[in-house]
Formats: sequence, structure tokens, C-alpha cells
Amino acid sequence: MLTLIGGFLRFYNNTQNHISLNIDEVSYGYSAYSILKTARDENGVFMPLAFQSTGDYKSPVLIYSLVPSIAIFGLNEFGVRFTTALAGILSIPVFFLLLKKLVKNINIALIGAALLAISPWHIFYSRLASESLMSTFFLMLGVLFFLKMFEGGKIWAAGASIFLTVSMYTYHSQRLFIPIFIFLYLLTGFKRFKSNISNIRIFILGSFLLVLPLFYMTIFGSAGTRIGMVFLSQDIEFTRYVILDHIQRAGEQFLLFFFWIKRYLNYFQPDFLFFTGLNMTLPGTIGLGVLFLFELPWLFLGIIKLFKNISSRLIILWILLGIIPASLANNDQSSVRSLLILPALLVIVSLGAQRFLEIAQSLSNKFIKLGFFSFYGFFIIIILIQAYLIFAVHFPIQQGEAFMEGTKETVLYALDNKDKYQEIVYDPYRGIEAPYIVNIPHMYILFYSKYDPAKYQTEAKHFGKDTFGFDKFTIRKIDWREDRFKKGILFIGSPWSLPENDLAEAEILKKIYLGSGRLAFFIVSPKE
Amino acid sequence: MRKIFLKENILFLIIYGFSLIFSALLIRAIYPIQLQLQKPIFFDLIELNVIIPYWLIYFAGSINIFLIWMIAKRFIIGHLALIPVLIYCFSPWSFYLVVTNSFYVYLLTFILIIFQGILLIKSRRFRWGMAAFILGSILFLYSFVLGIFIFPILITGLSLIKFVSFKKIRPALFIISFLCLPLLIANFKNQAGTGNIYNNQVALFKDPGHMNAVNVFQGESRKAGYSFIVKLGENRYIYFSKYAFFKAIKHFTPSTYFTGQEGLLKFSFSPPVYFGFLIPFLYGLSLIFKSPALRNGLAVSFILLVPSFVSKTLVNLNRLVLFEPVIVFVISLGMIKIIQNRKERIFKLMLFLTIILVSVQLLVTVFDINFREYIRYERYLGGALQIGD
Repeated sequence: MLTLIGGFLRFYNNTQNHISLNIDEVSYGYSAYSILKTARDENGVFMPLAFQSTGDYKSPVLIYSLVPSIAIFGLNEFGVRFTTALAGILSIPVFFLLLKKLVKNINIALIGAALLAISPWHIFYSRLASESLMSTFFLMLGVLFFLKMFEGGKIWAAGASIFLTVSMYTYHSQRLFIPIFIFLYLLTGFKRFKSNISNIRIFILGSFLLVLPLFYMTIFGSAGTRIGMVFLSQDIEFTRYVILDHIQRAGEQFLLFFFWIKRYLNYFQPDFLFFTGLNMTLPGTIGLGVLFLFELPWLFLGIIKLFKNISSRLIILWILLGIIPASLANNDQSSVRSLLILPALLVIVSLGAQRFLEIAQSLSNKFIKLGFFSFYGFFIIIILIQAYLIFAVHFPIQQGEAFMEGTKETVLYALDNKDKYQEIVYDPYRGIEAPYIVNIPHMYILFYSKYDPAKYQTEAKHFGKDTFGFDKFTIRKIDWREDRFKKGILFIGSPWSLPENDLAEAEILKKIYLGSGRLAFFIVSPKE
Repeated sequence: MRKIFLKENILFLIIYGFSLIFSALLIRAIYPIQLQLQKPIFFDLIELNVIIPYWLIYFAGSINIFLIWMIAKRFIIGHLALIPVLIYCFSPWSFYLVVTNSFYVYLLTFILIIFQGILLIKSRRFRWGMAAFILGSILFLYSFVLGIFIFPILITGLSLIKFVSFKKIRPALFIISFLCLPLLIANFKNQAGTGNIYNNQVALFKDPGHMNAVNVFQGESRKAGYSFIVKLGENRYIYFSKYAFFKAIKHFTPSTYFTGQEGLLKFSFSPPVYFGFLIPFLYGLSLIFKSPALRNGLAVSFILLVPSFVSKTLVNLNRLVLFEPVIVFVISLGMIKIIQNRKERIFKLMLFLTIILVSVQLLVTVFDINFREYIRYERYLGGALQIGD
């Protein structure tokens, strides 16, 4: 029943909300399509373990999992989002089993499964193609098998090593988290685990062998490129406002350490947890946190109850270590990088919810009890109504641009009218407030045209200074002062590169608006 | 006994000396940046241009250190009474605010005098206690418009938890009420002025962004056909309640006090209190939760969060300095217990980590202030010499 509810919340209208495929989703989809058709990625590499994609070297598991999905459903929004949504649904029974194993109480396990089924954090990432969510699914499975291996059975040890290493292959955060987590968990409980030494040996050996290629790629190969791109020292706030663009270089490492501590503790801030953590509404407004506000008292009660619970060490380590990878990246309060702590957080919230019910039911006065339940029930309903409105109404309008809303429409227009023009020029910079968003339109062109991967891998592409092109498509900045004289060319760009005052009415072929009503793109062609 | 007494005084003077050096460093780094100067409410109401002078705030800052020591000696025996002073003097929070002439450092002095007065009353030094209590209360009430709410609640709270007997302070309360008559008259004669001062202080919902957000949410939901549930789920009462709750919780978050999250003076990277003190703080908090008396005392002290809570920003570290002594005493409680139990391995580790982290961060902060703080201020605030409240 809970799985069905969770399934509905994850699948219903997931092709329309989130409002558009973002750059990563389009990249995943086309890479999977390329593997399906040619067994090579779009750059011609045979069955890679790290996909170069847009230069960010994506992890392989999600892309390979999309191959059957795209084969069945096609290269479209549903085909790209199906696998993650499925992983999201399957997470619910897995979490139930994991929670039951941890707390040995079926009621708490049911509460936890219910909370995961309606968890805004989990639903948000289940509704788009997300490496982080898939990785968390494998992490939960891996931890479940890991705990079961102490009860005997080599199959559990083998399963644990497989699922935990798959989790590491799936997302970058887990590559740092899992080895440290397992190591510290075994170290701090070594006396208890001595009797299971043979299973632990199987687990460690299996994990070591499976993770070797990943280790090699990270240290010597391209997978390590990503670490350099996203490390905390590249953070704009750090470089501009803390070390002031490297004025007085001495002591920067120490400043970086304390800056990291600040970022680490930010994940325990109430704004991230309960008010704005999912960034689904405009900055400065109160939207949705990663947990519901009604879970706040349950979280406190759960923390108190946790210390009396035998599984407290695992949960505490999970949370404290799970935040480290996210805090080392150059984003503040990243809900995607910290998603791996969600199961542990929900364990605590579930413990607290059960304690909360015990306290409420122990109230002796019937009227006070009824009043309390009515008030809290009403509070929960209000929060759920707000969450629904944020998901269904506000998020698509207020954050559509962050999901590249409008790009699909421009690409479809260009593809429909491709034959009328000798060249199609696409300016990659967009943004309503300023042209600070880089679109990477060529991936959308490849995706929506279902461009033949074999042709794309081998055809000549033209590169220049800040220019890239293939077939009739050229991705470069538009300079309308010069480009206005180039006939027979279709130009697609934001109002920043195609200023409306400079465009003749006859030249404007189409205007693309966002759901918020703001103009995002012009599609123009200079007239004779 | 005399030797111990002398030794403690010398140690206090050494710590005080270090605090002066730190202040000098700060002055050299960030002078003449200053916070918006404020007048005591009484002078504002009678339209007399009396602004608290810089030297008085420096003096108040020094007095605060002394008062914290005096208060600490009432609860802590021996050298350990210097721990709260050490923590206070080695925390950038109040020093940044003293150097930039914060009005709230000046107010903190009166709150500490009030508290010291109550302690003297309890210890049967009745006359001195009454004098301090009355003086501190009058100066506090005459200086700060929110004092009219904070003071009664604070005193009522302390009486309810039986920290001080209401009977003992009743005569003082009568005297305070009598001495407040000119203030009351000034309020009545200049109600518009009172209203303006109050509106400046209480800006909890003043940001027009909140109402804009409510209107945007309601407009979008209505357009999507959810007119009915919008009234239930997205009305301004619920939005403002959520915002107020959010503001309140921010004041109970460790990163507010132990990291540069909120930005001292809106630009500094220095934390209000060094991160290493988080360890004894959390331990001190756990000890407080186990003791009903300490728990109640902590609960009463939350009234000092009100000025920051009603400010326009989420957390106002300038106003929140009124709460700094509470943070310092919680850390001190934890620190003292850690020191007393330092022979056990876990406490040895906690002590070691605390000392290392605080020492490293102190050095880093001193270096950072010297070389980067002014440039940081220019980047954040564009060189405007006066920082708003």
C-alpha cells in the first residue's frame, strides 16, 4: 500500500513535472541511446566506465540502467526518468526491511516506510533522472545486506560488497562515504564482529576487487577530473570573500579548513532541513525543506531515543560521515549531494514519531488528547497542502529556468524547420535576470532529433574559439550587430543576445515564454 | 588564601591584557567602520541629541569582562572562575562590536549589573545588591524601548524558578517603577516618537519581500485553479508564522554562534565564538538538560534573544550579543566538567581537541584580521563606513 502511494507520487505526471529535462538528464539519455545503438558513448568510447559527456565525466550506472528503459519507452522524458522513479519506488520496501532490521520493531518500520513514501526530498529526486537517488537505493540495499551478513550466510557478504560498490560506481559522494563508513563501523565495533570474521573477509575481498577499476579511474583516469572541478577550494564564496582571490596566500589552507566546517554545519541548519533546502521556490522565500516541518519535533525526540538504541552507532556515523562529501563540494547546502543521509535521518524521525505517539496517547485527559491530535493532524494537513502546491504549481513556474525550460521548444522548432536554413546558430547563454546560465543546447539537439549516434561519433565537428558545431548546427555567442546581416540563417538566443529593440517584427519567427510569463528566447532569421 | 586571591587577580589582569591587545589589533584593522549609533530612548523621546560616545562603549566593554568574572566567582570556586572570562575574552564577538561602537554592548553592561545585583541580594549584601539592581534596571529601561517587555519577563521568570525571592526584590521594583515615571511621561507626551522607535526596533515582518512572496504564491495557485485550498494553506498568517518559527529556530542553531555563517558586522569571516568551544558547549548543554534548575535558568535566559528575533534580518549578531554571556556560561560549564574529569580518556580527548582547535583558529583569525578583514569589508559593503543595525 505504501509502495503504491509512493509509486503514484513518483510516477504521476513525471514527464511534465519537473517541467523540462535538465542538461544532465538529456546527457544521460543520449549517452544511453548511443550505447544502445552502437555500444559506444557519443564520443566513440567503447562501453566506458566514465562518460565524458559535457566534460564532467558522469558515472556509468545510471546511464547503463537507462539503456533498457530507452529501448522500451524510447528516447523521451519518460524513458529517461523511468529507471530513477522505479528505484525510488523500490526504495520504500527496502527501507522498510532495513529499518525493521535496525530497530526490530515493525511499527517503527511502517512509520519509516510511510515517511519515505511521502518524503519531499526523495520524491523530488525520484521524479528526475538522478544518480544520487539510484546510489542511495543501492546504498540502502548494501547496508541491509551488510547487517544481515553478521547473522551468517556468505550470500549476504557477497551481496553487500556488490551493492555497496555499485553504489560507489553510481555517484561520487558515495565513493568517499562508503569506504570510511564501513571502516569506522567495523573498527568501532570490532569486538562484536570478531565471530563473523570469515564473512567480513569475503565482503572486504569482494569489495576490493570490484572497486579496483573505479579506484584506477579516479586516481589515474578521467573520473578524477570531476573532483578537481567541484572541490570546495573552487567555491566562489571562498575564493572571492574568504581568501579574497588569493591575496596573502599564507594560511589559505587553514581558512579552507574553517570554511569547510562552516559548510559542514550548514547541513544542520533549519533552513536546509525544514524551510528552503530543496530550492523549489524563489530565493528568499520559504518553500520546502528536505524534511517536512511536522517532522521537526519527531527529529528531536528521535535524537533522544537514538542514544538508547543499539543501532545508534551506525546511524550517527551514517549522518556525520554522509555530509562530508557534500560539504567538500563547491555548493552550499546541496540537497542532491547529501541525499545519501536521508535513510539515516528518517530512521531518527521514525523513532521520534513513535515516541511522539506514545506521549500523545499517554495523555490522560480525553479532551486534551483529542485536541492535541486534532491540532497536530490539522498542522500536518496544512504542511502537506503547501507541499502539494509547491510541487504542482510554484516549482514549475519559479524554478523552470533552472531546469532549462523553453530549450526543448526552441530545439523542436529548429528541427522542424531545419531544411529551410543553411545554418542554425544557437547562443548557449540564457537567463532572465542575466545571461549566466549555460544551456549546452547541442545535447538537446542530439536528444530530441534522436541524432544517429554512429554518425555523430564519426562526423567532423567544427571547433573554434568559443564555438562548436556539427551538421547545420553551430553553438556560439550571437553578436546581433554583425549577425543581423547574415541571411538564410536561423538564430536562437535569449533577449540578452537578441535585443527586442533591435529586431524587426518580420524577423521574429517565434517567442518562447516560460511558465512564469517571462520571455526566454527569440527565434529569428534576418530578412532579405 | 591571600596568595590565591592575588594569583587569581593577576591571571585576570593577564587575560584582560590579552583582550586589550586583541582589541588594538581589531581597531588597527577595521577602524573607522562603525555600527549605526543610537540614542538611549529617553533622550530620543525628549528630543535631546545625546548619542552614546565611543569611549563609553569601550568602557562598557571592559566593565563587561569584569562583571562576567564577578558573576562567575559566585558559581565557580577557585581559578576555574576565570574560564568564563577566558572564553569571553578569546571570542571575537563582543570585541568586534566594541570596536565598532555597538549600542548593545552598552546594554549588555546593564543586564550584567542587574544580574550581579540579584546575586548580591541573594548573598545578603543587600544594600549593594539593591543599588546595583536598581541602577542597572533604570539605565536599561531608560536606554532601550524593548526593555519594557524584557525586564518584567526576566524578573518574573527568575522569581518563578525561585532563583530570587520576589519579596526581597519587591522594594527595588517599587523604586524602579517610581524612577521610571519621567520615562512614562515622556512616552505619553511623545507617543509618535515612541511608535517610531518601537517600529525601528521591531522589524520582524517589515521586509516587503514576505508579503510579495505571499501574493506571488496566492496568485500562482489561484491561476492554477486552487482558489479554495490557497485560503487554507497559503494565507499570510501561515506564511508569517512559518517565518517567525524559522527565525526562532535559527537562534538555537550551533552554526550561528560557532561559524561565520551569519557574518559578524555582515562581512567578517571570524566566528562569534571559536569552533573548538562547540565541544564543551554541547557537553555543557547535555549537563544543563539533566538538571531541572539549570534547565529553567536557561529557559528564562531565552528572553534575551528577543531583540535579535524581532530584527529585520534572520539573526542579528549585534543584538544577539545580549545572549553572549549565556553561551559563555554554557561553554564554561562543559569546560569545567571536562577539566575536572580530564583523567578519563574521553574527556582528555575532548580537552585536547578543544585546545587545539581554539588555538589554531585563534592564530588563523588574528592573521586573517590583520591581512584580509578590511578588504573583505570593502568587498561586502562597498566601503560604506557606517553599518546599519
